[in-house]
Amino acid sequence: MMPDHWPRRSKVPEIAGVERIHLESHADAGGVSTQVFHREWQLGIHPVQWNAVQSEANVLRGVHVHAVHEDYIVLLKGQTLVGLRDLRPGAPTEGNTAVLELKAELLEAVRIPPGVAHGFYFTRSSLHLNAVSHYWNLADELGCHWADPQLRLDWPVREPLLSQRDASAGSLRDLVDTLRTRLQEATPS
Amino acid sequence: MEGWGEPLEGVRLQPLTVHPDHRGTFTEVFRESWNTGIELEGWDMLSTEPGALWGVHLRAWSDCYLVLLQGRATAGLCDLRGQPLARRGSTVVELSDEARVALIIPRGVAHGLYFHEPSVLVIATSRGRQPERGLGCAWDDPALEIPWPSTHARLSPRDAALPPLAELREALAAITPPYPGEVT
Repeated sequence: MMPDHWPRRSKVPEIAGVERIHLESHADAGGVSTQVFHREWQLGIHPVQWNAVQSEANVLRGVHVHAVHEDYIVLLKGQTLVGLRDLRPGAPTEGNTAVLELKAELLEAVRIPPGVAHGFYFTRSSLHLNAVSHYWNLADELGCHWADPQLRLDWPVREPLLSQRDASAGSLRDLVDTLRTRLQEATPS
Repeated sequence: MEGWGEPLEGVRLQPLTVHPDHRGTFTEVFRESWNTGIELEGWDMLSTEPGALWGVHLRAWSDCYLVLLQGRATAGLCDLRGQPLARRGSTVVELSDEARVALIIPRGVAHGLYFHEPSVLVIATSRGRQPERGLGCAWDDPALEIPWPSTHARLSPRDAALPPLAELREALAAITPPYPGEVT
């Protein structure tokens, strides 16, 4: 049983292992304060690095997936849609998709495990924290084109602002093959 | 990482690198490998309006790691470490999202922030040997000798009810936390 002062957590039924953490804010004349992470919450992630990411409206970051590192995302300002696709071979929800909406007014964190592809479409100018369980490693930065129809992610945009890397990303089919190899390498024998 | 000097002994400013592109910005806010000397366990976010003041607070057992992600603020600091308890120095540090830094505040240094603009601040804290007791004092107590940029501020009910510095010193004396370099 979780102590009362820990935030409520809810599973995303479409994709096993993805969790929403419902953070509690306190507003007063000085502003709004929110505890966004604490090790004692036993979320199963020990972040070694925290990043702050500011995004203009109509930016899409992704679609990315990692074989090793786990993400813990907290939207501090703005609004985003998080598109998810389970690419883990043999996972109970393999192949499933989900789109989560995050609004800063309803402060939530999302935990995304390795093997779950994810992209973020920012419908408003936004600021989010991204905590990661392992340091950045190019070999763990995999991805595919955000609009690949095989992803079955129904993005509400046709021409988002993308990085060069995301704009030239390959197909989901190629990503699945690469990820399968990387997941096998990352699994302790 | 190389620091930018110490406004007070043990108070450090770590420059952070902002990577801009046409989509926005990306900033590494904290890496364990930076050897900041503190192990962070809790992260809080504070979203404030202009004229708000947060503090003055003091952590007796744990250190703070602050990063202003949006806006502009003045951090006021007053060093209350040492035996006998005394005010060993006060200063202000200007923080802005245009020159992003991490402000590392060791335990025993009282601190508050005055926000000039709508701002977003993240506050991380280290593991303490004992739970913190919500220590603090009135931000405008002249004995703090913090040169705040304003004589008026919007406060939370908790901060508005904080006692004078003299009471904070008494509370500190009662718990006598050991600080680095002291014999415990």
